Amino acid sequence: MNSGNTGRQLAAFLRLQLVNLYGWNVYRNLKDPKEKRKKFWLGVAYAFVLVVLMCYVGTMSFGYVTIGLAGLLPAYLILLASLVILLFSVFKAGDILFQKNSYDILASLPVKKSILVVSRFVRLYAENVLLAVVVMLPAMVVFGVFAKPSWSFYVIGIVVTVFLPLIPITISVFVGAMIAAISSRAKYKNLVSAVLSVALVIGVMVGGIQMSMSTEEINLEELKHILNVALDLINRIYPPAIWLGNAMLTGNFAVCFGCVCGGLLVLGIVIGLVSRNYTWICDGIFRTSAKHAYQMERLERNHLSGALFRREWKRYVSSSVYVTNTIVSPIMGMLFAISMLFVTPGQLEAAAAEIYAQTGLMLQMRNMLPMALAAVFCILPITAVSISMEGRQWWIIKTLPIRTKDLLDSKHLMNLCVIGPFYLLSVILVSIGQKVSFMEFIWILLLPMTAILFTCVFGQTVNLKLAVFDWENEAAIVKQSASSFVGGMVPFFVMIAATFGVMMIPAQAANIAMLTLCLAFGIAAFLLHRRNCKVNLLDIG
Amino acid sequence: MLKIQNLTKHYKGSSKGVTNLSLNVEAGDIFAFIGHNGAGKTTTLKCIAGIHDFEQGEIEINGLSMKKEPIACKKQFAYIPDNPDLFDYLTGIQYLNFIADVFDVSAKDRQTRIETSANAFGIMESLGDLISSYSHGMKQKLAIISALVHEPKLLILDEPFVGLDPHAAVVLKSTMRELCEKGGAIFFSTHVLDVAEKLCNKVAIIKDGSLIAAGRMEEIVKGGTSLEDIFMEVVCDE
Repeated sequence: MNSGNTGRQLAAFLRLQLVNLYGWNVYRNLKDPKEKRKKFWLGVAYAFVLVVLMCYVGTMSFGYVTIGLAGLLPAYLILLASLVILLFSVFKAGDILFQKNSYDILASLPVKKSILVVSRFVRLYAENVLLAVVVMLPAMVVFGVFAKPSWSFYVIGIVVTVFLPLIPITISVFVGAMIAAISSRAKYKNLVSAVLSVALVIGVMVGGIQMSMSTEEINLEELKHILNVALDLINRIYPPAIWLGNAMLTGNFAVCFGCVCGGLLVLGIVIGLVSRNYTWICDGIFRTSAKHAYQMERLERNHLSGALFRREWKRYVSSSVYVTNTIVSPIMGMLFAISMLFVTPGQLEAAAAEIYAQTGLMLQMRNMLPMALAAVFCILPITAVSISMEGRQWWIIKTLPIRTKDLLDSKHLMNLCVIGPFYLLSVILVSIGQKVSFMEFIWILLLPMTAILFTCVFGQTVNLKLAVFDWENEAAIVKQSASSFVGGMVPFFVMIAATFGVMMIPAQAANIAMLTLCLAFGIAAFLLHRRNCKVNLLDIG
Repeated sequence: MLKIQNLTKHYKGSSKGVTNLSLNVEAGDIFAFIGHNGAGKTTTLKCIAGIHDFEQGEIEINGLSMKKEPIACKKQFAYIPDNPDLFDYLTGIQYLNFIADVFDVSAKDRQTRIETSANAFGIMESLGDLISSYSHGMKQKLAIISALVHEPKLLILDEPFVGLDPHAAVVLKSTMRELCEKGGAIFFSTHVLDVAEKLCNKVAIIKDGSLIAAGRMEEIVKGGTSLEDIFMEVVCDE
């Protein structure tokens, strides 16, 4: 195969991967004006979020420059952007790299596997480079206006912005390929993949907590030391952020060039390794075992709701992407509860006193416990994507004689069954760790419960509105869909706002505030559920 | 059994669809629905099956309106699409059990029916395997078995013979005849005109979304012609 042919094939594969970037090709070819309008406004909403993020980064950068920490800014933002990109790509890299539905066709074509791998890597890169721009561009503008750096700052800054996603995506591809390679040889592939991914999440979280705990030793009053301490911390977490940040500030092209070359070298090695083992991994992942040994067994009759729930459960555990991304929230809840075992009530009061001394704000830290627990449990409810996850099999549900309510209830039950055990354990751990009173226990029990119910119903409401069934891979729905974004983040922000709200309320009024919140969540959940049950399933999809 | 009156369904932004289609399928009928690709067969079947809503007209199954009483309607029939996308994450038996639970089939009945059908179609040994491991033909067989598990009065089938091996095709034809002898009815689309001519007592031909011929097979095909001749004449030569 000559190089010209390889180049043409690579170009064709890149076109295939990039033609529908951000859903552009689908939008362009939509014939239904209503659907097209819907997609347009979704695009506007996404653009608005990006603008808000840029404003946020710009304001934050201005703050850093004003308090004399301009030197920290490049390294800090490179770290921030890299972590966000890593977070967005780590659990979907494997799914995109080893996509099943097009494998048979693509694998049968006379092309090198490396072309396939490179094209999919480029797609991951293209999806994430926007995040790097959103973070780096406003910071560079603010820094440029106020710190007046030399021209080299901008040149290196642009190179860094373009290069920045490569490292986290290389890590994601490596991790995704490793998890796929290990799970592909296992009997229960999805289970092994989900367990490995969740273990990774816990590892990163625990590592992050330990990292942040190490900063307790810092004397925050000594402003002159903050810069060095922060840079040291960034260096411990992600050294390339320091190297590239310094290169931007000092105009050191050699360091920038070295980082880019080093990154590309590592990327080349990872792509080479993945390409070499691509067929082997795919064979393992896509292999299905069939015993052909079934003998008629005694069958049982089940109630409709039981049948729907069992099917829902099977659907859930059949997808490692689905499990991994939606189990993070209950795990975070558990980690929060466990951390409360090591923080004494006295330490919480001391923290409140410290904040009062510095800001004049009297925060009720104990009021925070039920709301904070509710907040972590309310990130990305399963119901926010469970209808979309029906995918092309949605026709089966539509043709079955089942009421909307029965279907929705089975999805709620499924969500609650996943969260339930984590929630109950967390309630017990927080209650023991913080030695709560009877009334505090009641609110720690009730408030997260009603908040979780509200979040489940809200997620479903959003998914009924923004259901998508013609998706390419599960990650596109669980991680990137409008439904997962709105249904997952809105309840979280509501809970965060409510958490700060209850912390401001005096202790005497805490019970009334908690009761009001419980009633508000409960009534909102009830009304939304009643409304959802009236939706005609025929109108969905 | 199945009454379609003035059915009109169009897709936004597309000229495809169905216009003013009326049909009557009676108990005992094996009714073939034929037409060129994109004529509107699948659209019609999906409207009957309650997958698509429609702008105008009425679809009644055993006197029940699909618009007003969709759930009661759906209990009367079973539908099999042209390309059965089944739940890949279930085993064959889990899928059949799920469908039987939805239609509230007793344990004894489902056991007997599944065993009979699975043996007849030759996939009994594969029922314990994941559907993702099935070939297209096996998925089609499983979809047919699931359609029969609640003994529907009406079968709505979209290209049911595609992907079936000759043995399974024979079994399906005899199953269709049996169902009709018991007072049921079958409405199915097909491109295999020989099968339609031999198997069906009624036929309807659709072109560009409009019905251009419908009636008893012997009324449509007469004078030594074949269904294929008629089809070529009315669909291709116009």
